[in-house]
Parts: sequence; structure tokens; C-alpha cells
Amino acid sequence: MNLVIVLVEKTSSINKEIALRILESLLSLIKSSGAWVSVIFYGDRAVPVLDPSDNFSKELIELYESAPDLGKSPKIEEALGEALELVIEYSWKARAIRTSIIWSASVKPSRLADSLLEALEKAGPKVSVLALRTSLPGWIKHHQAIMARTKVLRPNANPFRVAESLLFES
Amino acid sequence: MLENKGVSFVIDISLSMGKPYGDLVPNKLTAVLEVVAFAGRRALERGASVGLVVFHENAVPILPLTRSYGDFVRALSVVTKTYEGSSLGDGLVWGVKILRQHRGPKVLIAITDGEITRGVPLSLALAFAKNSKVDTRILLIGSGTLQEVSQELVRRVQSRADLTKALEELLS
Repeated sequence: MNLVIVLVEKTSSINKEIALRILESLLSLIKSSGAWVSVIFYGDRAVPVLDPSDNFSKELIELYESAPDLGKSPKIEEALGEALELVIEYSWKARAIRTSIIWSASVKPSRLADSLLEALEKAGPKVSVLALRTSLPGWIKHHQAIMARTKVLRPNANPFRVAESLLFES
Repeated sequence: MLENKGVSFVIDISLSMGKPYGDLVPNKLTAVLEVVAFAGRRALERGASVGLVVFHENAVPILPLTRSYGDFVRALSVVTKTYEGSSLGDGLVWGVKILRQHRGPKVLIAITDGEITRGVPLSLALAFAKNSKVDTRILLIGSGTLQEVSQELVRRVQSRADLTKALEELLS
């Protein structure tokens, strides 16, 4: 079974309306592709909300809308660590093919983030990051592994096309 | 029937659990551990597997699911101290995680005196449990309160007999 892991930031720093539309498009595309999905919300902490499943519904969207913010600062390393734990746990059952990350890029990650991202890819899934901003912050150059996998959001971008590019572009 | 059921015990070890309450003496934690040891043995005899997580400001998985009463008692015996902070949400998340690979029905029983101070929001932890098809129950000692939790999931216990009865019913 193919598995897509979706990491979506839930902090006061992210544009939740856009994040929600992209999350909705991602889930719809994953469902129609027949893949399984796992979803992790993250901020100061990372919280798994759905373990690998092919039976997911609009409740996930409602949960994202209603859940309290997980602080102000997105710790992408926390989310990557949780995703790595998931890949290790389910490696016997699922072939993780993609990890898609929705991120405000509002806070510089710790140095651990690049190592975790590379470890995650070595364990299987390709990682794509979407920064919900029109240009990347200057500090990203200190995080080469993240930078190489991050796309920015163009103004007026179609959320469905953005989700497609996160899932299918190499 | 408990046959093939996975039971995750999630126990509060925050500082307030170090105080007595009614006949939960010499303190709530010690009394809870004694009752849980008994309930765990009954569950194992009926074919369940049991695991253990404790939480204070963080959650710590102490024992993955096992069918060994010896392992269960040894795990309970290392829980001797109480610590700062109380993060039930983290405890619930870990309680679900230790049930991940279990194939049969899954039950999580959390025992706390409330006064949650930090950690993962309960609404998210409970959503994770629900999405993982884990039947979650919270036994709330004394008059403490729990925000964000449906009262259907909470059962208040005031005494050792209450706690024993609640566990017996949940594990029957």
C-alpha cells in the first residue's frame, strides 16, 4: 500500500485559510489516487491525528479548523521526527512514497531539521515542502536540505494545482 | 470478552497524585498502582494484552503491550515518584501509539486527578484516539476538572472501591 504523510502547520503564524484549502486538495487527490494517508499537525509540538488509513473524511478538515493552535512557532523538526517515527513503525505494512509539508517558514528551524529530513528520505518517502509565502527567508540558505525541497506559494495560485505539484512533481 | 483486546493504561504521575484522597492512601498514585495491578491481572487472565504509559509534564511509555503479568508488575514497580506538570494529552497520544500494531479491539484507560497544566491539546489527542479506533475512557479522581473532554468519556471516582469497580466494568 502506498502512503502519503501530510504534515500541516497549525500555529498562529500560518495563513489557515490557505493551509486549509491546500490540505483539502491534498486529501482529495490522495483519496482519488487510492493511496493511504497519515496526517500530523505541528507547531511547538507535533501531534499525529491520523495514522495510515484509506478511510478518511471531511472530519479531518473540520478538525484542522476547530483545533487550538499548537503555539506560535512551527518546529518543523518536531514534525519530521514524528513522520520518521511513523515510517519506521509502518515500514512493514506501507511503502511511504511522499511526505508533504505545509509550512509558514516563519521561524528558523533548528540544525537538526536538515538531518531529520535527510534521514526521513533515506527511510523511504520523498519530501516536498510548501512555504506559504511568496519568497523564502534569508536564513533558509543555512538549511540546504530544506531549501532544495521547498516551493513558495505564488500569488493567486490554484490550491488544487499546488497540491498536485506537492504530490506528483519530482 | 477481553480475548485479543489491547489495553493501554495511562497513569498520571503529577505531584498532586502524591497526595492522599479519601481512602486512596498513602497517596493517590500508590493506591492507583495497586488497583491497576489487580485489574491488569484480571485482564491478562481473560486473554487481553496490557501496556503502560505514565505522564507528568511529558509522557513516558513504560511497557509495550504484553501478555506477561510479571512484566506488567515490574513496569508498575518502577513508577514510584511524582513529578512537576501534568500533560494528559501527551499521555493519551502515547497510550494510542503503544496500541498501533495491535490487531484486535483497543482500549485506553487513563487515570488522572485532572489539573492538566500543559502538553498536547486534549481535543487533538482524543481525535487521534478516535481515528485510531481506540475506545478511550478517563477515570477522574476527586473533584478535579477536565476541559475539552466530552463527559461521556469521563467517569469520576471518589474511592478505591469506585476505581476497582470502574476498571472491572471497563475490562469486563
